[in-house]
Amino acid sequence: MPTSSRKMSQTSNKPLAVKLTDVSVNFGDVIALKNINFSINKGMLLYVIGPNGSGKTTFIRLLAKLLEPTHGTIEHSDDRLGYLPQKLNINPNFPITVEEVIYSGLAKQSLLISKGDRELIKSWLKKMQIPHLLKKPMAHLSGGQQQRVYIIRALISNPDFIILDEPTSALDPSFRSFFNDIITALHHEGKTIIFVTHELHGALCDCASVLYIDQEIRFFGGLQEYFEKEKNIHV
Amino acid sequence: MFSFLQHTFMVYALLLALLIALAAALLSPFLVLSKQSLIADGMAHIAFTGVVIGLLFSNEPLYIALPFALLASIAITFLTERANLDNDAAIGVVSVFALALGLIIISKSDGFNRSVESLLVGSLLTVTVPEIIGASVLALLVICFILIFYRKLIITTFDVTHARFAGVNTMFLKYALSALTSIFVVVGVRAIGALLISAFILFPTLISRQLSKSFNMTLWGGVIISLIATFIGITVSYHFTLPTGPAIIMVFTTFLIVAYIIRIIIAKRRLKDAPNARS
Repeated sequence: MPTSSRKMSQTSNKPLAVKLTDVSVNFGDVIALKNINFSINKGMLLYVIGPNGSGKTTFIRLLAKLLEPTHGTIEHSDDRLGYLPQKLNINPNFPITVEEVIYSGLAKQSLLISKGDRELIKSWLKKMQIPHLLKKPMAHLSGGQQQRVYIIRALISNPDFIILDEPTSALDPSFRSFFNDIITALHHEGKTIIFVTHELHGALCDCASVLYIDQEIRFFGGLQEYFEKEKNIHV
Repeated sequence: MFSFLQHTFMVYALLLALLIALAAALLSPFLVLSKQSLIADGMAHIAFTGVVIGLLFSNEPLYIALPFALLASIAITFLTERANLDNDAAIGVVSVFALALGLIIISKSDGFNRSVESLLVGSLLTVTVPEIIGASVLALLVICFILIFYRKLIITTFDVTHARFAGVNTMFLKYALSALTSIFVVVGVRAIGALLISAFILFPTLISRQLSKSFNMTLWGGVIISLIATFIGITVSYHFTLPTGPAIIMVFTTFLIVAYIIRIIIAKRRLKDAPNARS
C-alpha cells in the first residue's frame, strides 16, 4: 500500500521538508530500496519501521544526505539537520572528551571553545542528567552515557529536521521516558522528527505517522491505522 | 651539556630534527588514531625510490622525489577510497611496488651504494641550509593546515560519518594529510633515514595518549614530548658518539615505556580508590 508523494502533498498544507521521487538504491547486485515516492512535511513525527535488512538505515542515510540514490531524485529543504546514527563506527579508546564530542555537533566551531559554547554544552549535559561528565574521556563512559552524549551532539545545533536511528536502544528505561519527553517537546516546537524503531507501542503521540519499509514502502499512515492493519502488512 | 651547540653542524642537525619532529607530531594523531600509522613507513619506501630516481638525473634528488612521493600519496588515498582497499593494504601495495622499482633501478645502475646506505639510516650531521629551509616550509605548511582545519580534522578522525553529515570534505582532508605526510617524509628521509622516519609519526601520539584524556592534550602533549625526545636524542648521540637517528628513537621508546608504566600505576590507584569513594 505505497503512498505517493503526490498524495501526501495533496493531503497536507504544510511545506515539504524532503521529497523523494522514484528513488532506488542498489549496492552492487543487492537492491536496498526500490521505487520510493515519498514526501515528508515539516513538523511531521514519522516512525520508520521494518524488519532487519529492510532498507530503513539506507532510507535514513538518504534523508541525512549521506547517500546518493542509484536512481531517482531527492529534494531537500533548507532545514538544519540533526542526525543520530544507529551504529557509530568509532574507536572506543579514542582519546577525546565529552566536551570535544558535543562541540563537534555545533554548526560553527572555532579553534578554541568559546565561553558561550561551553555554557551551552553544560546546559545540555545538565538537561540530559550528566552534568559531571563534561571533561571525562568518552572511553570511560558506559554505553548509556555515551548514547546521551551522541544525542546531545545531534540536538545541540537546534536542528529543524531530526533523524534518530534507534536512539533509545542503549538507554535505561527511566531515562528512555525522559528522552521521549524531550523529543515530544521538540515536536511541539514544530521540529520534524524521523524516528527509526522496532517498537511502536511506546510511541510519543497518536499524531505520529508510520512508514513501514521492506525495500519498498509497504505502508504509510497514522499510528492507529497501522495497529489495525499490522497483521496484514507483515504478511 | 650543551657544548655540542658550539659546532655549526650540530646546530643545523638540531634545528632540522626539531622542525621535522614538530611537523610529524602535529600530523601524528590524525594518522595514528585513524589507523594510518603505516603511511609514513610506506611513504619512506616510496621516498627512497624517489630519491634513487632523482639521483639518476641530478645532484638535488628532492625535486624528483617530492612529486614522486606526492603522486604515490594520491595513489594510496585513491586506492583506499575508490578501490575499496583497506588503508594498510593500499599503503603496502604502493610502497612495495615503489621499493621494488627502486631496488631494480639500483641493481641496474653503478655508484649508488653510498647514497643508498645514507638514505636507509640517515645522515643528520650533514644537514645543509637548504634542507633547513625546506623543513621550515614544511613545518609552516603543517602548522597552517592544522590550525585552519583543526576541528574538521578532529571530527573526521573520530567519526567520519558524522564529519560527512556535518558537511566536512573528508576526501580533501584525507588527500591533504597524505600529501603533507609525503612531503614530511621526503624532507626528512635524508636526515633521519628511510628505516626510522616513521617513528616521528608513530611515537608522539602513542606516548601522549597513554596519559591524556582529550584530543587537545594528545596533540599538544605529543608535540612537546616529540621536541623533548628529539633534543635529548641529539644531545645523547653527541656525548656518547651514537648515530643520531637511532639515538632519538631510543629516547622515544624509553618515553613510551615510562608513559605506559605511569598509566598502569594511575589505573591501579584509581581502581584501589574506587571502593573507598563509594563507601
